[in-house]
Amino acid sequence: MATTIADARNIFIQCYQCGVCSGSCPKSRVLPGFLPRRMLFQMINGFEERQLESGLGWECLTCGKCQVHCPQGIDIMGLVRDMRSKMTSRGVNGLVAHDSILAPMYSIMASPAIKPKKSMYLSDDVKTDPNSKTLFFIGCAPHLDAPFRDDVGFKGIDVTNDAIKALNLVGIVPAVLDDEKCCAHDYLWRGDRAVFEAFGRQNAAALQKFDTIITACPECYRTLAVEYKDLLGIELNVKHLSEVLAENIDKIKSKDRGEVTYHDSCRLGRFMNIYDEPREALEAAGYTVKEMTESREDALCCGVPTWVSCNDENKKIREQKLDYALATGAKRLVVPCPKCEIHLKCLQADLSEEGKYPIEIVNFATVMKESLEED
Amino acid sequence: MTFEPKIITFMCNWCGYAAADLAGVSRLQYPATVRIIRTMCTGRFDPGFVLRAFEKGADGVLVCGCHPGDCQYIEGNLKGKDRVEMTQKMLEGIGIDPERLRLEWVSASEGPIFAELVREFSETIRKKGPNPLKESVSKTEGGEEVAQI
Repeated sequence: MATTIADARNIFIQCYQCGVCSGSCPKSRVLPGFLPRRMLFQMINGFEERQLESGLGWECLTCGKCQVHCPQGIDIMGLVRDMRSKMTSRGVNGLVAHDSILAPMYSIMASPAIKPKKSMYLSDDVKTDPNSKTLFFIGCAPHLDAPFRDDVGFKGIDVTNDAIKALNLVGIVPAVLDDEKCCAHDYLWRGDRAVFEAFGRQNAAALQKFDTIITACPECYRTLAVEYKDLLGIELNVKHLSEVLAENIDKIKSKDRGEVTYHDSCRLGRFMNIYDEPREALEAAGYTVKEMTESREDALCCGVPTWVSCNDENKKIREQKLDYALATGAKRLVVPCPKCEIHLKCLQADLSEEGKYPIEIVNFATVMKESLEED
Repeated sequence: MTFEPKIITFMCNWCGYAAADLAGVSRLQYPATVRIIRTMCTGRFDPGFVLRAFEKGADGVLVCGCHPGDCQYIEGNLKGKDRVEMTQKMLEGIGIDPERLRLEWVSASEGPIFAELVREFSETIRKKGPNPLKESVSKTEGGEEVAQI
C-alpha cells in the first residue's frame, strides 16, 4: 500500500497500543529502545517530529514480523517507508553498507542511456528462447557477484544460471531480457520512490509483453508482483522459482539427500505467503527439511534489509539466525534470497577463523538445480 | 566541436605521479585530457571511485601504479590490480565498456612512457566516443534528475 503519513494517520488511528509489534520485533530484542509500538504512538499522536529526528526508522529491519502479528492489520511497513522518505528529506540519513559501490552502480543503471548486457552472465549450457512468452527476470544477483565473490563467497552468476538450468530441467525454456533494469527494491524501501519509478518505467513496456515472469529472487518477486501494481499501475503475472518447481513436482525425482534447513526470507514468506512451495520442492527432491526455532511467519530476519544499518545489533540477529540453523543439525542452510545469502555468508566469513558456524549456506536455486541434474 | 575526452587518472604517489611529473619537467607533449588524482598507492583504489567517475560523466579512467614487486607497500599495487579487474567485470555487467577503465604500470623514471600512454588511451577513448551517461545527462529532460541520484 502506498500511503503518505497523512493517509497513514487515518489507518493508524486503529492502533490500540497492544504492543504485539514490540513483542515480536527481533530488533527490539537486541536494541533496547527500539519499540515499534512507541514508533506508532509517536507517529499518530503528534510526536512525528521527535520520531523522525531520532532516526530510529532506519533501524527497522522491514522484516514485517510485527505486521503479521498485528491484530488490527496495520500497514506498519508502509509507514516505515514513508518515514524514511521524510527522514531523508530532513537530512536524517540511514547508513547504507557498501554505498560507495552500490550507490553509483544503481545510479548508472538508472540512466536510460545505459543498456546492460544481462545475457553475458549466462553460461553456454543454459537454454533460453527469445520467442518464449515466459520471462526469467534476472535481477541484480549477477551484478553483486563481482564485489562479493572473493570476500564473502557469494556466487551470484552461478545462482542465476542455476535457476535457469533448474527451469530447463523441468521443461521450461524462458526468455531473458538483455537490457532488463533492476527492480530497485532497495531504493523503494529506503523511501526513494523517484529512483524506483525511474527503473520501473524503463522496464514496464518490455515486461508487459510476457504472460508469465519467473524470478529466483524474493525481492524482485515482491516488487514486480505488488509494488509495480500499486505504485506504477502495471499488472504482471509473477511467479517465484519455488512456485514453478512446486507445480512441476512430478518431474522432480526423489532420492535420499539428507537434512537441510530452510530460511524463510521475509519478502517471500511474510510478504508473499510462500512458505510451502519451497519446502514441497525440497522434499520432493528427497531432502528432509528440519525447521528452525523460529520459522515460517515467525522466521528471524537475515539481519540487513536493503543494505541499511549493518551494525552490531543486526550482527547479533544474524548470529542468532545461524545459531538456530546449526541447532537443527542440518548440514545445509537453504536460502531463497540472494541478499540474505550475502548477509549470512558475510557473517560466516567474518567469524570463520573462530571456527563458528560450520554450515553450508546455499541458494535455493543451486540446491534444486543440483538435485534435478543428478537424476 | 570535436570530442575531447575527460579522463580521470588515479596515480600512486611513488611511481605514476612521479612519472607524470617527469613528463612535465621534461616538457613532453601529451593531450590535456587527463585529470590526475594522487593516491598514496594503487591499493587505495576503490571500485566506488571509478563508478562515481563514470556516473559524473568521465569518459575514461586510468589507474597508474608501480610495477609488480616495486610497490612501496609491498603488495598494494597487486591489490589495486585485483580491484580494477573486479571493477571491469562490474562495469561490463551494468553496461559500460570495461575498456574505458585501464590499469597500467608506470615507474617513476618512465615519463616518456606515461606521455605515450596518455596519447594512446585518449585516442582509444576518442574512438569509443563520449560516456553514454554524459549524453543522456545533457540531452534528456530528466537528465539532471538521473545525474543527481
